[in-house]
Amino acid sequence: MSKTILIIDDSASIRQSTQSALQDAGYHVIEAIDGQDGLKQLNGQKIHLIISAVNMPQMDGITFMQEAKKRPLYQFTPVIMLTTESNQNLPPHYSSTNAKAWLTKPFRPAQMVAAVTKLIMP
Amino acid sequence: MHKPTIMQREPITVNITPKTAQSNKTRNGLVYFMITYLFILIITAVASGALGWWLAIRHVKPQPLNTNKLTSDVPNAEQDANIAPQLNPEFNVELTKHVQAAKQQTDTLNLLNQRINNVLKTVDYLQQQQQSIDKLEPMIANYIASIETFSRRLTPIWAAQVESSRAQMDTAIVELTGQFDAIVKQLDELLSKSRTNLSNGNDTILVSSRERLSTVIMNLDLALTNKQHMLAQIHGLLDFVEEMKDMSQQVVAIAHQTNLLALNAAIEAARAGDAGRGFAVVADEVRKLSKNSAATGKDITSKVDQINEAIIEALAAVELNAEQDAGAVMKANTSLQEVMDALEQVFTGLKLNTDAMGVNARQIQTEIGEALMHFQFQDRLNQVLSHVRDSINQFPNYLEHSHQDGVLNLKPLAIDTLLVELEKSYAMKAERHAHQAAQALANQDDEITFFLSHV
Repeated sequence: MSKTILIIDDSASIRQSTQSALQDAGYHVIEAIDGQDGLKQLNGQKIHLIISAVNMPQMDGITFMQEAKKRPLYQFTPVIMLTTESNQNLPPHYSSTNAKAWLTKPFRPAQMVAAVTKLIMP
Repeated sequence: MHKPTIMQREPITVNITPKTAQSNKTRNGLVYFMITYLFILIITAVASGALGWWLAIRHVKPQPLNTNKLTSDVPNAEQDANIAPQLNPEFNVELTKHVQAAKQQTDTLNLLNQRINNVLKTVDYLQQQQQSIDKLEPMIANYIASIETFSRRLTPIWAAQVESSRAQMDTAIVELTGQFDAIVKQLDELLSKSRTNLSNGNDTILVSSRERLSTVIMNLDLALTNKQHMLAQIHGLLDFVEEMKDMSQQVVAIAHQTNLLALNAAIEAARAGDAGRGFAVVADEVRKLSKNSAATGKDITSKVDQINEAIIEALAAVELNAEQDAGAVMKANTSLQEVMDALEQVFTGLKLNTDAMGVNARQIQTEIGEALMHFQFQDRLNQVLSHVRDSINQFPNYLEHSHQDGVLNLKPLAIDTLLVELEKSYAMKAERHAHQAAQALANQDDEITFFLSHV
């Protein structure tokens, strides 16, 4: 059975391109449009990895990750954050989050697939 | 006793039009203070004059005064002072002192009068200013109201247009991304199918076709070989027929010999007379038999000849057929080889083209992937437009804050606060760069000094 990945981004084009790349790689993908919608998806189903943008309306990615880590079932789920800033320009508080990786937009689908392959839960 | 005329001065009054506005209180207070101060000075001056007169009058002996020299003006005091030495030296001194004091007080009163006039002028000026303010206040209020209306009506439209542009761009990019993605998937499926067909199915078909055709050729060769065997057997049959022909000719010869013998027997039987009659009958019968045998032999020979001819004809036909078959088999074999070779070439060419197409398709997929990646810029643009839209929506609030305390308590627009809030909302380095560059340009403009010529 293929593994499930949750993608959270308010940009439909980002969700579409990421979903396409991951489905081609054999993963099952579910989508959310912001942090609040993402929390609704954490309803007990098994999620092997979460990909989240930082800047979103309603609830940003940092807040979502903090809320998600409070739920025992998703406490150890790896998270990849998507940001528009390069590594040198990341705000200091970003590095203190529990994200496993930061990916700068725009990114190549192959980069995304490689990161997912490396970090996804067994 | 003639009493000297006391200089009387009428009290100075200041007519002030009463004001009801709160802003006139301070001015009115100042005026009232000045009036009070002036009144006190006047009282003091009068009291001093009276005291001086009283002191003077104690030492004055009644003398007739020259009334023509007496007037109600200040110089009259001097005239009085000039008249006084005729009365009493001590009184002169006292009177001079008091006259000087009175003169000083008169000077003071004159000064006060001037100052009061100045105050009155100031009051008039302030009244005029107040009138101007009263006229300007509604105009300013109207102007501020119009600016408020301007911002409240225009900024939502600006924000809506920005939002509309952002949404339309978002929709278009999503559509484009979807279409490109579908193209990539279709290319992938096409390549996969063609590669599978060429690498697996076509090779197998080619090999099995060669094998089957080789089997057909082998069968044809076998048939040809069998035909040749049959040809050989027919040749053998010809030999047999020759033998049969020889045998039939021998039969004819035997029959002829037998006939001769029978004839000789008949001749001998005739010689033998009656004893040879039986023998003559036998001889006749033998002669008949030999004749029949000869005829039969001839028939057999004839039939064998016919059979021989038929066999020869058949053999010729079979031989011809065999030659033709051999030639056809060779041709078929050659043609089949050529066809298979051509087919193999076609398959090889097809495979090469497919491989080349696969390479091109992969390149196209890669380029489309790059294009799709660059479409992600739309997300950055989305954020920038969202920040601008939100800042535009905030502008009327800042405008309202600047005049919320009334037209007489206008505050400057908190542009710095607005800019700081805008800068806080930024999520990208590019936004901060653009903001700082624009600010630097604006500050640079402020540093320009214009030298104005004064006429």
